[in-house]
Amino acid sequence: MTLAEACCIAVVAALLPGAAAALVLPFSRATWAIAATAGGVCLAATAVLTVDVSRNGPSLGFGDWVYVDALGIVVADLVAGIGLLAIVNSLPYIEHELGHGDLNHAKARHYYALVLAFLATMFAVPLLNNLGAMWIAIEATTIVSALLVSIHRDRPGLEAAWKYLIIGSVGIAFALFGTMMTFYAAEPILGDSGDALNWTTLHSVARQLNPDVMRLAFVFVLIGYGTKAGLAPMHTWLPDAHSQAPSPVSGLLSGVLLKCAMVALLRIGVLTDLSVGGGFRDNALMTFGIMSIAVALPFIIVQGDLKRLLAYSSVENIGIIALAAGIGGPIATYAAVLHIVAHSLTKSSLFFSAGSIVHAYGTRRLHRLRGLVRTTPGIAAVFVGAIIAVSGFPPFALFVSEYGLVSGAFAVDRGAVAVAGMALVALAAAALLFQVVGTAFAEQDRKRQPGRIRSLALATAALPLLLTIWIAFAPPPAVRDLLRDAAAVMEG
Amino acid sequence: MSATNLADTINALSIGMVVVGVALVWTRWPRHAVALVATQSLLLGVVGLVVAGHTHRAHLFVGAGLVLGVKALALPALIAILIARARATEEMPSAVPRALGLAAAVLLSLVTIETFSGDPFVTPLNATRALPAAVALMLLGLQTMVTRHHVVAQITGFLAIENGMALAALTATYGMPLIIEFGVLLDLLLAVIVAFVYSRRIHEMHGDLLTKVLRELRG
Repeated sequence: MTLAEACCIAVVAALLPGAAAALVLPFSRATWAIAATAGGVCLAATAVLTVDVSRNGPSLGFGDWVYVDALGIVVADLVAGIGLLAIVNSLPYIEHELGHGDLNHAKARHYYALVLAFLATMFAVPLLNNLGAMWIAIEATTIVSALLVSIHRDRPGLEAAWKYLIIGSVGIAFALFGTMMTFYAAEPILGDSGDALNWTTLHSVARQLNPDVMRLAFVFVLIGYGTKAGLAPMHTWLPDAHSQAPSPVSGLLSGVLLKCAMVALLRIGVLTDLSVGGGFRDNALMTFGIMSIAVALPFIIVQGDLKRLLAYSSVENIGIIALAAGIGGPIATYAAVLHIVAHSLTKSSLFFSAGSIVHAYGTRRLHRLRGLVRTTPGIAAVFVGAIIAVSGFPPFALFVSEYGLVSGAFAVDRGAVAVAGMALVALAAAALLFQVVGTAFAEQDRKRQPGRIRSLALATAALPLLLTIWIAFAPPPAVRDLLRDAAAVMEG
Repeated sequence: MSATNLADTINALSIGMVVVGVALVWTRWPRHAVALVATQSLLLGVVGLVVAGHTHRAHLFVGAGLVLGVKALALPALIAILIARARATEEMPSAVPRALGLAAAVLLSLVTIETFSGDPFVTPLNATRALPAAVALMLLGLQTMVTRHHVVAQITGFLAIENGMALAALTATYGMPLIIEFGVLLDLLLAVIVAFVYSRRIHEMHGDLLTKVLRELRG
């Protein structure tokens, strides 16, 4: 058995029995402990695998079904790391919901079981080599996470989950067609064996794939996985689902799931670029990137709901990732990978802290959170810090990735499009800061006794934000190399 | 069956699926929509059997059997149960005038079939209409979902999109590897079951299956 196989088995053996145990055993703190242990095993296994990939390069497993390369392992690390944080953050979150009668023990059991199942499905996406199997995993993420969005069984939750399930499933039905077209393009070269769906096999013959078919394939994949990744104009489900889900799950949806879909899109993008050439993929990605930033902007400006504000910021940031990937070249592609990582960390910090704030104040309306910094300084510091981070200011990693995007764009003569994109990003940043910082530092409008914020909630929100400072300032050479290798995969 | 006959048969079945897809856009009754999508799946299953018979591939027989069992029988039955339990006799409201919707559907089908005919979209069996029909089916399914604000239209439209996808897979590449087909169908089944559960909740909350009530989250 190879190391990659052993690690994958460890992850599956932790998550699936963990989910089953959480589902059937009576609810207590032990349910949480089971989930946290499973998450811990998962993180340990990915850490081992990460070291292996950094040292020995990509590896295959289970007869080519699993392919672990730098891009895949970076996203798997995000799944495992933010997954564990979300589970830990769920302890205070779910106990608060139980205490206020928003959930009962049965639903809390379902919650932990679904979170583990959700992690298992997300884990599969970046590591599966077979594009058909990867599609199956992505559709499975939709089904499992839709159930999490509607866990409260209230009307807005139902509406959000319905839209998410329907739009998400339709979107990726289009992606399946694109996947199938890729298979079709490979058939004259590879025959109709199962191998012809393996990304590694396709990659080795990508230059021979019929460009007309690959163009059509990429259009469908872009619409399909783009829907799931939250690219405008297919993003309409996203603000609903991300705002209605329990906040730890919102962190997973915005922080990790969008990136899983993005990686699927980028993998087929690599094949398309090698086959079609001529900047077809790049132009498509840049167009959808700019469009996503532009569409999110007005909603960020007028948004009065805290969690919807964060959701629209995710649409904007997915746009930035698509833009950076489309610009291409070593610097901008590195920026795209860094943005994937940094946005995951920052957005999970934002949703975790927003969850605590919403619980403490009993509202998601921004204007009712005036004076946040005075009444709950700890969580307010994390939240405002993360807002500054997501707005692209130093000392956080999103500053570095956005700077890389612009300088990389000038290096490949695509400066104009980068400047246009960044001008929109700057407007969005100004709107975010105005909305949140203005509110947080405002005078309190009346005496308010916010609920207690538990230190575990504070710590899980603060940790990913601190990590983004670390990545910005002093990333160990091994981390930088891994990100560079991931960028090389994206470039083809 | 000779090669020409085979191509003609597949072409005819594909066009038949498109005609059913156009009817799905046109119909306003939930029961009819279910019957139509079941018919479309049946035609798809027959395409599967024809291709399997011609190519003697065991996995295609299994695939066609799965399509007939799951898409032509189980899923329509599930939606029929939903309709019966909810006593959904209401019309499925259309966002655009029906005649306009129909005209758009016909135009969409013709243009799509014209655009995607010819090389490189001629399938190995030389069925020139199969792939274009598949794309048309996906667009018709999408049109059904977008224009009709009803739970049943959303689910049947989605199944029509899936049927288009499956037709493309069958004729272009003789399906996908069986394990992938199986996984795709399992996902589809689970998605429709979850949609079924949600539909029951929508009915419990509002007494009908209209999706116009799902319009509160905005901005």
